[in-house]
Amino acid sequence: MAQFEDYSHIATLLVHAKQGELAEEERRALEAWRKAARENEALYRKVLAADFVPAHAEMHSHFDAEAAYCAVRALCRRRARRRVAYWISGVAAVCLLAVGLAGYWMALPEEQAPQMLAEAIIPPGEAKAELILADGASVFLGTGVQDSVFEQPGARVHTSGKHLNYVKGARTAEMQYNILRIPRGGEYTVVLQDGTAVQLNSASELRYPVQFVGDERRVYLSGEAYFEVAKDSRHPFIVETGNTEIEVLGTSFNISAYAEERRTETTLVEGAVRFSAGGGEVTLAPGEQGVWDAAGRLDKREVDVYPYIAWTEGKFVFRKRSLEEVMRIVSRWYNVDVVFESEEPRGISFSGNIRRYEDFSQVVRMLEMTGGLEFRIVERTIYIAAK
Amino acid sequence: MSDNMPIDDEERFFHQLFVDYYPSLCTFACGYLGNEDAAQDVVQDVFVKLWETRERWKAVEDFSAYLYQMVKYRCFNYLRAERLRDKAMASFAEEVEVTEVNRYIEEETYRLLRNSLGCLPPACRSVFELALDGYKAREIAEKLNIAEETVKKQKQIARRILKEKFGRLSLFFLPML
Repeated sequence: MAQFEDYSHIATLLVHAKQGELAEEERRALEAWRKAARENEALYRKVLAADFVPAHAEMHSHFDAEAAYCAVRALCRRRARRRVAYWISGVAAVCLLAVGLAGYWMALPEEQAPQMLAEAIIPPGEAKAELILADGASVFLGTGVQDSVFEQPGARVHTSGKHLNYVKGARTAEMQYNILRIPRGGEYTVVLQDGTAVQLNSASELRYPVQFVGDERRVYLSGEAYFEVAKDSRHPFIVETGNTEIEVLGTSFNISAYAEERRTETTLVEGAVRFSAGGGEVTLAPGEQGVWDAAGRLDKREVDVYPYIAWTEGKFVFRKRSLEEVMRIVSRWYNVDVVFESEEPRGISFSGNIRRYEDFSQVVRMLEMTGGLEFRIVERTIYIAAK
Repeated sequence: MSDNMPIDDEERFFHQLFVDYYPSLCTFACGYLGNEDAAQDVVQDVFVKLWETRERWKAVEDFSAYLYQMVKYRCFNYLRAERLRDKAMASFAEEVEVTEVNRYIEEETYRLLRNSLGCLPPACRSVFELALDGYKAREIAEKLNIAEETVKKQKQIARRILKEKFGRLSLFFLPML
């Protein structure tokens, strides 16, 4: 009987072949395998064919893993409870006192639904922003708002439902600033006059010149944003947050600088940036994160970048974050308030992925899986207690 | 795996394993059962069993192969229960064993490819996804409305990141990291 584990390395070789990254000895190993059977050569060709990825993606789209996971966990819990019930009823046969208790356990409902008092659906955030122009006038932007084009000193501004684009106009001597303000429950993307794209998360604000003048490109951020900076080595791009400065030459990175988090995190995806605060500075390489914390410490560490930028792709990805942090992040996007009715749940460590565009009940379902928590939703306030 | 994994680490590991493998295993099971609903039932059963025998996880060396093996046996059991097993075995007998192993390799290859995309920055990823779909640099440039040079550059970046990532990581334990 063939053992699958004897062939797991073949999958790795095929991945490398598909990515065009076969090392010499890998190529030899793969060739030997291809020659071993006609079917192997056929599989090799199938993997390298153009429709390999789309065909599998199509097949996989039939299977919703998160929904199935909920079902499986519910089934596991039910079976575990049934075992407890059997055990207790066995004890009850010899211990009269326990009969009442066993009855109580047996009477437990099969599946406890999340405790939601209000049935009202809390929708996720959406594209939404307020643009404050150089003269102080403000324009509301977002899903459902008509596209428009208007002039600002030094640039023409195009707006659409989800983003805002500055196209360079006549040179100006003086810098004129616009402010893009994203409310809680909003997100929005702006392409600055130099081509830099900035995707802003909820409860965030970016102040930037309509046209960059001088030897640097400087913008001011509070909250969270993902930057894809247009390359221009002669004009360094600088992001200033309350007390930190990030200087870049052309790169992609995420900055989280919410006042309420009391720390600024810069996560570098590609390129290089200099992150300075409190008189110190660190240079970040891709996959590194610079942290400036409430105590005034500046530090850098290696991180898995994905959880920090997943929001730009419509996902929340949490890795060992405390429930308190998770709820702060979630509450900005769903524009809800969170009240911890007891202290213990705050520190519960949570890992998981949540789609940002689901309504809030999906988030509760996900968090419920950590077990031992009770969520109560009253209008836009979420009460969390230990069960 | 550590001997005493705390309960929430167990849950986390289980969830990651589930999300990572579920579609691949369902597709694999479909190959035996020819029916998506039955395939999902079988795979979900396997995961329930896996959860209930979690004290044995530390003995598992290769979770990937272990999962596929479990799914395979469950599929046989399912077919037997359906009194179709003899018929099914007859048709399996015509298949050489290599075909079965290759279905496993095929699913694993796709799962690993998909995971590798998850670690790329968005701009890179859209380029790389199209490249994996078999588009040429020029066509990708047209599709995404960017310069052909940019496409080539993004492809290089993707290669570099993947190389760095997979130089260090063991592909089969991605869900554990």
